[in-house]
Amino acid sequence: MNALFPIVTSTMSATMEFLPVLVIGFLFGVALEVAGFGNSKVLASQFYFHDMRVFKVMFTSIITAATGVALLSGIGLLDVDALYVPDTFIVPLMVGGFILGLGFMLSAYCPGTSIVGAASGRLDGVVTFIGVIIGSVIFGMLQPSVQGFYMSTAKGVLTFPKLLGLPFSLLAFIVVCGALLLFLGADRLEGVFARKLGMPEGQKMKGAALKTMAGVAGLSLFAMVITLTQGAAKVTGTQVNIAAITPIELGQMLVEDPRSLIIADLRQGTAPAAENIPSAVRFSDIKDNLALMYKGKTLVVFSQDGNDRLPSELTQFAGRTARLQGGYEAWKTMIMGQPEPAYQAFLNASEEGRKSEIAALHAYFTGAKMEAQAETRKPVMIMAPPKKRSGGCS
Amino acid sequence: MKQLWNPYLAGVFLGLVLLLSYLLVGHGFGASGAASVLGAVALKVTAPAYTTGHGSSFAHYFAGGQNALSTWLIYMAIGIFAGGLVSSVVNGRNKVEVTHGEHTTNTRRLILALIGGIVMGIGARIGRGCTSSQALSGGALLSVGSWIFMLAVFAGAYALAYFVRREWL
Repeated sequence: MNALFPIVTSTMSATMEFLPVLVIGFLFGVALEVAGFGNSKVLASQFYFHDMRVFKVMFTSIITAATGVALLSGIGLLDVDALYVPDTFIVPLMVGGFILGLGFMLSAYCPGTSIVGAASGRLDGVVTFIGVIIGSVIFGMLQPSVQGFYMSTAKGVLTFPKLLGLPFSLLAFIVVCGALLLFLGADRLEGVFARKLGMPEGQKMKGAALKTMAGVAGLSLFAMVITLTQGAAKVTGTQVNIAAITPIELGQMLVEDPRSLIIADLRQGTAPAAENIPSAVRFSDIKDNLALMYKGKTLVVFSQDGNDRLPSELTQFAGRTARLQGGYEAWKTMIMGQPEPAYQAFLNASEEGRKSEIAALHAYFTGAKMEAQAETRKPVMIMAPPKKRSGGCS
Repeated sequence: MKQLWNPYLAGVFLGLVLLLSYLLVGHGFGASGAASVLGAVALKVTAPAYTTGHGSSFAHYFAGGQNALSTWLIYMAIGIFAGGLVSSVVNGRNKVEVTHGEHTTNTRRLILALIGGIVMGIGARIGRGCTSSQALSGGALLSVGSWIFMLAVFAGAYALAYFVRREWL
């Protein structure tokens, strides 16, 4: 079941997105500029509480985008799992964020707004962006010596819906409500500090802004309601949510204890034997007997790309059930094949340290000799660090 | 000079652009990534030895002989610049100047801006992104790491705010 959006997915050619990205960047630049973020004075005022524009704009944009995502995925137009989410590295992100915050206060720009500042003629913006370039080179030089820290507390793609086991739309609605409360607080707090400091006060949620925000909140509520009512229908009917395992995990389970596994192929029709995972059976052949199967086993299902809706029969199996993350494509690129550009989409940065395991699994399943390992390892090393899809800095 | 947008309306506009980005290309914004790429390219030109070999953290930008500049990050940065330029001109806010508070000098402001930029460059690399990519784009998708990052950014800035207050107030 393929959703209409996103149009350009991570498996497509990278150059396909250049034109849309240029347009998005342009609109992003306009949005930052009309928000006042081309001016470091406006940005700095956030941190003296008299004009909390940065906070208001940031959190309003977050709740607006989150509401849009909840709504469009709720009506089936957007596949939220296909969106790029940066990997979570708890301590490095905390430390990196704190350091970035220090720099933000010193320069009164963030990297994106320094570009807008520069475009608005602000020399401090130009200098800040040059600083960002220098800083990233400095860290690049130091990186090999702090690699252990840099890769520590890796959690892969970790979202609150995944962490808490709650629907995206519900959590998005909670964030919207929380943000609205904080906005009311910010609107009041500004007055207090503006008087105390003798500085101008920020604009409030009034008039058109109030109506628009009410609209966002309403849509967010609507998105939650439709998702939850669909969800209720799914409990009795179709939707199944089960844990995902990575190709590496599946490979290791297959090596260590193949008899504890039932691997079921969800793809329609017959896949050629070469295009299959060892010992896989067709799901259609076993689906009627799932309730009777030995529950001490682990049932792993896979589709072609890991994006298909899971069949409701899965709930009848009493043992542990898992789905293969990224589906057969991930298995093929990560364990079996010569890596393609799409490869990086399947390898979390948290798995970077597992290159040798992948190489060993590759050798095991392809029957390649050990000397072939060097060859299979090479593409992994080229592909793993860049994480080209990463939004920012890696 | 036109008045700035109401922050909530600007935020909704920004959020819609972010949503458009998700819909079209499957990911959000990026800004500091372009700086990393430019830094790597500058290093390759000036000190190529650092950009090759096994231990180099810059080698991946040039892996397989690829053009490091051929990445969406650069296109987005060009777009941001163009958007900022057009909007600032149209709204009469484009002015060549050094923006600073009343009690400081241009030189002081520029030095602090440079130091701040360098610090941000380091922070953005450790944090795998900046306010655009990590905080906004990951935050709206409710990524745990992005929220940790975002709160840490505010914590870092507020921690320092008191000490540099003479620059702004």
